[in-house]
Amino acid sequence: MVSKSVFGSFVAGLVFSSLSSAYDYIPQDQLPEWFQTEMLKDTTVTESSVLDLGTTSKNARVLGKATLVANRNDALYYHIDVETSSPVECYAFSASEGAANSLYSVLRSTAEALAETNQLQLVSLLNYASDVGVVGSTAYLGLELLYVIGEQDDPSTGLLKGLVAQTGDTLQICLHHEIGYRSAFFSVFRSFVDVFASTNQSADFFRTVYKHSLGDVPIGYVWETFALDEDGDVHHQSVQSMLMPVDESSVSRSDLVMSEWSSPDGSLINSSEYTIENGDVSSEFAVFRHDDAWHVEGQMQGKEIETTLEYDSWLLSSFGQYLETAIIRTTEKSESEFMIFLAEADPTAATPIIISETKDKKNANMQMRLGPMVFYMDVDAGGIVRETLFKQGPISMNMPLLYSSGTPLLQ
Amino acid sequence: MRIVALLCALYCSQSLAQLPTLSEIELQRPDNLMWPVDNPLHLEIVVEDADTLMAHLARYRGVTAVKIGPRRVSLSLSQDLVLDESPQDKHSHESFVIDIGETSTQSFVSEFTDDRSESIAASDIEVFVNAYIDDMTYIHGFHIASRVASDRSGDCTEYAVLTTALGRAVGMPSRLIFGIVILQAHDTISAFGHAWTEIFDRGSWRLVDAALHEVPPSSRFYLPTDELRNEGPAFGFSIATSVGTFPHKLTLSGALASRSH
Repeated sequence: MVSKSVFGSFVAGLVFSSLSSAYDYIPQDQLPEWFQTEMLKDTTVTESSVLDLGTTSKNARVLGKATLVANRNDALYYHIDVETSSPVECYAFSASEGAANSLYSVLRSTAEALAETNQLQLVSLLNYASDVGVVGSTAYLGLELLYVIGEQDDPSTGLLKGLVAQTGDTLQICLHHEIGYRSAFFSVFRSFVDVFASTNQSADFFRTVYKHSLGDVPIGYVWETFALDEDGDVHHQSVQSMLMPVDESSVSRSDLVMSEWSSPDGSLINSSEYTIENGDVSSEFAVFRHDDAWHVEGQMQGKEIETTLEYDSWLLSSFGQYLETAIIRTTEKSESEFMIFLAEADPTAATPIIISETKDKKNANMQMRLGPMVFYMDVDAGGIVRETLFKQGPISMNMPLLYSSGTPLLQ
Repeated sequence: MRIVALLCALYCSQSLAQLPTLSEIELQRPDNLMWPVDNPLHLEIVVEDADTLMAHLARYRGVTAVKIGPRRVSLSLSQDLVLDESPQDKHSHESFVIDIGETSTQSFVSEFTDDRSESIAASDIEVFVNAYIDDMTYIHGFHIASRVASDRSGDCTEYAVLTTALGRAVGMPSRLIFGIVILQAHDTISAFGHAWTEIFDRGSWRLVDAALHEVPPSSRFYLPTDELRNEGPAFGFSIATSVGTFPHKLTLSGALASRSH
């Protein structure tokens, strides 16, 4: 749970679906009147069409009139007409550098192409809005960039809206080069994601999506899945994607992918992970057991790390953190201390973690202490974390549960 | 931990004109504040742990701190702040973060030392690092020295990391500091999370801030709250600890509080 900032819980069958909950960085009243008027434009897309999935045999319907424009080895590219000046453009990538990195990369290259096509300079690309939510059980990120192209004395302004989601190993990205039409764009994106979600049959026994917010600003999500293999071991996968606008025109992009195997008792078998930051692989680690010791191999910021942990005993897995949280929440036991491997904290040593009850917090009944950091959690009677709060100095973050299905407790 | 490193980047400032809104820490000021503000500056701050901050500030000349509550401290903060300690061995050594032995760092150091015959002052390092990093951006979490040397990119933490590396590489003990910078410009005053370097030069520690080199020193007040204590691969925890020492809120006041209550 706490590893890779994932804090899990479940509510069987609970589904949230947010729509146009974007956080605007530029107040509407600071924009020209014509822009404000354009932003109010929207439409309801009722027409649907068959989405050609290229080489695969399955077809499905999406909102709007979809045309497959390009079919490359690793990407499908569509125009979806929704009767606005520009069509919604959607991509389905079978290989990518992650949701956050890919969305920003596509938005930025689209803005640059716009300027180049018009033989104009891209004067500025400003953060306009961001969004995080779920479409059914699938997490999505949204980013809107306000661009200015042309000469200083005769600039043209426009808006690029982008949304991204990942279903299975496929990344879906939709763009709309149009001011306004947020709801229409979102509905097309949702139908596009649904096509791929319906073809992704998973055997997970537990799945969660959490949102990351810094104050009121949505900055990312983490989703995780748990599945049993034939030997009864638990395979845990998690993906954390963050788009953090750090000033008026820059966005920090980060995608962390983790795969972990755990015994049913919650002990770690092995784990691997990598992080892509701003287009580069910034770290990658694998921890595994060999000759009664834990070995770590990988790199951080280009520096190789290969070591044997001094600690050679039981390590608590992410799945195990769910089990221990449930035990403390439902029994007389009030505190447990374990060792975990958390590469971001220290890739060269095991890190202690303390899970305990807390009674002096208004919106939390448990806490997780990890080094200098304390995460306060609202855990329900099933040992489920519904929200996690984190405060460090002036920083305040919250991580509410957006979606869950199944249960982390094996029957 | 990635989130903590990113948040630390958010709490860094480069110049008053380009500050990200998320980096700002609440600062209240009286309506009748006179410009420019007095030196020393008087303020009250809210922190997580007043005792820890008091102990840290006791090591400095140029700041007077009075505890006025478990989480509140009254300060008289001078612009001439000096750490009143001798350097420790670790302030001269290479580390995972301050990796002066890496090829890219050595090339960067050579660029500074080549054709430089006169004795080196801390201020020379500030000027050089300010010019060397040509891509001022907040998108990085916290890059180690060799990465900054090759990318020439970053925010206050990257400037401070590279400054610390250059100081050590030329034989001057150096340490990376976290804290708050208070900046005044015209009739505005604001507080931001920040990182800078202290370099031991000619017998005393000197504050070196390559990121804010172009901001007049008379416009800046620094409140050090911690240093990067763990320069190994587990530096993330050290950053998290340091961010936890940042004040939550600052209030400018007319004078230093006289007693605890």
